Amino acid sequence: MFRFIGIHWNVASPSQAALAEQLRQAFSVRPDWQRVHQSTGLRVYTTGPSAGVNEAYALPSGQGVILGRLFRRGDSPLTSASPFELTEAEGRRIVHTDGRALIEEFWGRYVAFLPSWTGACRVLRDPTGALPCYELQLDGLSILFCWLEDLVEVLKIAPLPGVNWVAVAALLLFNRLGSQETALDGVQQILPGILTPTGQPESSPLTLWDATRIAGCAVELEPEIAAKHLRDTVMTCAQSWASCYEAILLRLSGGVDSAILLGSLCPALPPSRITCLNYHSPGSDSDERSFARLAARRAGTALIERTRDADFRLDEVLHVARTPIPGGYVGRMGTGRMDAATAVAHHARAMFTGAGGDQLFFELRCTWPASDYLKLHGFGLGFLNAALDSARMGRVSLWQAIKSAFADRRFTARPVIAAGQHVTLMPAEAVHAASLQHERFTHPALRGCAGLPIGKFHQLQELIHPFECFDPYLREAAPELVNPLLSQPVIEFCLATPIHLLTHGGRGRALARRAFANDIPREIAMRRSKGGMEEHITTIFQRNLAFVRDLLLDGNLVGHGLLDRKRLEAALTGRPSAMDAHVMEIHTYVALEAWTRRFTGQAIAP
Amino acid sequence: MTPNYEPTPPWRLADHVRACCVDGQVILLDLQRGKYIGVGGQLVSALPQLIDGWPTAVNPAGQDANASALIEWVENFRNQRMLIEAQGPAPKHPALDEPVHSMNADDDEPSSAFQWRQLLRLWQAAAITAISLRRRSLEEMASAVAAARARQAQQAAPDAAALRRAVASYMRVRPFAFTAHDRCLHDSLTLTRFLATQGLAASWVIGVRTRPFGAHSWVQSGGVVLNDQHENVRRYEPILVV
Repeated sequence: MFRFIGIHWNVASPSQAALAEQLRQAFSVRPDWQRVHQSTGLRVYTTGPSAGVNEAYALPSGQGVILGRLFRRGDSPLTSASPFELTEAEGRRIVHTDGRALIEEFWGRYVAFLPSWTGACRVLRDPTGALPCYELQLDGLSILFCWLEDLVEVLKIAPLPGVNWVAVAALLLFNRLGSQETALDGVQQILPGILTPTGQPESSPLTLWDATRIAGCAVELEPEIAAKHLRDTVMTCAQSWASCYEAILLRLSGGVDSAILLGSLCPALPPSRITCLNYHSPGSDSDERSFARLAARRAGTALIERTRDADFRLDEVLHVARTPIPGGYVGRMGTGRMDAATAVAHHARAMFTGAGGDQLFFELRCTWPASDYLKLHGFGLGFLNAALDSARMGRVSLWQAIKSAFADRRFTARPVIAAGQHVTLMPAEAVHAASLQHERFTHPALRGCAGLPIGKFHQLQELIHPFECFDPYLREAAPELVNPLLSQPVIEFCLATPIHLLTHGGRGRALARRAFANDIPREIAMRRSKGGMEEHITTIFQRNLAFVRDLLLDGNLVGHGLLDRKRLEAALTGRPSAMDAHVMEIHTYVALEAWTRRFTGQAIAP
Repeated sequence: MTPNYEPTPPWRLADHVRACCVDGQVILLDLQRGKYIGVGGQLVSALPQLIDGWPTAVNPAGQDANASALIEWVENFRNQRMLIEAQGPAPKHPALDEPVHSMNADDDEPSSAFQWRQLLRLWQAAAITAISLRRRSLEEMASAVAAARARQAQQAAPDAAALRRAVASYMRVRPFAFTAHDRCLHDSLTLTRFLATQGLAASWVIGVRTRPFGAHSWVQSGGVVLNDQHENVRRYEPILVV
């Protein structure tokens, strides 16, 4: 697990300098950590590097360092397979353009420490946010890190910051924390694509990657050409990532996205380098093996089929790693350990997934294609075609699609739309209090997109927030997670492509299906259904009902007024109730409660 | 003190009541009032001894059910005319094949000409359905669908290709008629009628789920779901099959 810690201090401050020296000594007894950069007032350390995958690229004259993996735009995957070296000229351009050249000429997964003309430190996280980056201030000194547990284990920092309960409430209501503020007091997150000064900055953050501007581009291409560009972009990114690893484990669900990923890798990789892994469990939508087999057979790759572990014990989540923003366990429930074991057995350091496809390729049953078309082009024959597409996608009448499109012209982007739909057990006053904080936790890119059409706004909202990449439960034991579809070039293409083009013909993912029609089995390309694991989630819940009751009924969330105890009790009786909460919602509370207990010092139940 | 059970249950569900077991609970559907009622706890396992056709097996644990609660429950449902005396066996209801495929007929390539005739058929079916939903009970609608199906059963069985063509044309022209989103009952009844006008039969289904409670309607032919995804309808336990 590749991780870093950066220490930035004001050399003119004796107390900060002394603290910096103290922290330096902490690293000196840790041979597993290497110093990759040192300059006035800044030291950067890493652990777990791997040649060709996670490296440190020094900038000229010791001015800074870029951690992670870079790819040059325009390079073929074959070129990407060669060891990457940042040239002197490229490094100078990156420094002189304040990181803008890094965003425009490269892509990948990185955190860059860049200098400023004042000598202060500035940090740039790549636009996908694949590598986390947080900042903690300690007596004026800045610590930049990606894994909070390192601050405890390596730097012996204690006590850790306390829980930011306002942020926890916002997380419950909005499902994410979009601004710099995290769920821990005093810990900020460095937002992707924004050059952020650390410490007590005299300058403000500078947006280098403007997702809102890209989303507003509305690049209209002929569907055939757009499909070709999409295919080329996805293939280049997928194959570039694959070139970093000798062997790959690929989560092959049987859905369109993972099939597209496999289809993108096959032209460049011998099948022996890819092992596909499919999970199934009893349930109406939990068994997609037939589709996974089709995809694996077509690619000529091995396919391992595993049953999700229905005996997964929820008390395992009590041992969640301490992180600035709580994550969830549902997607890993009953599969995480098998992922790790399978990766080890097949010598695969990384696990590739098709995550992000829903958002990128646009799979939402709605009438927004017509709304977006109308906003971009006005009324005309093209609008009627888009309206018919919308009617098919949204299962509404043509008249309703047209009516919605005209109504949506008045749409003004408000990130709180539909917030709170899935928190039926949160007291009304807590919901109200949290909703008043929406500006505070809204991503800056979403505050200035009033002119975006409704469909494009919702797509942007889904893509602007980074996907979790570290496993807080398995930690270092988990294989490295790689989501090639969420590469910067793919995100930029899909954001810039109008929704009515992404769904041309009245189907979700229409453009992607068309682009990869010859690369994936026809049965998968035509699939409308989507796999899930609802019964597995319900089974786990029912088998652990006693634990859930013990954990939640008198827990921190109830104690801080974020859960209504009476309603919660009714939902956890195991009997039919008019106050049934969705099982997913309760799992969310379990994950959050377990996370809070790691910071409030409550004993972990055996 | 537990009641002295007779070997044959003395009661059965009224003809206009359907029941199914979901997640350890029994859901009842009163077709006359269009109302769902949930039954849980010890009653679920105690009532098979009293009600013929109750959708759970007799469970010795049900012997511990409070006798007065049982009697009160039975009296209450008798007063609502949902339970009647079991004079003879409970009627058998049609079985439903497990939904294992989705037709996805809307992916078929459209024919060159717009199908005005199909659109007229659809408008007619949708109008009749809309009026029925306003003026008739579920029981009456179920009887009408069953009667239509019985008439079609006397004709030759339709081939799968004809059914697919009909469903494909339904999907193609539906946007010109009505909104199906969040109107599964309307959509399913309309499709059933639409198919019937062309001598094609399919089963109209209502299913229920819990956690949270929900009801859904779809149309199925054998193991193929015609107007939804089979993965979606499998989340629901069928409670009414016509």
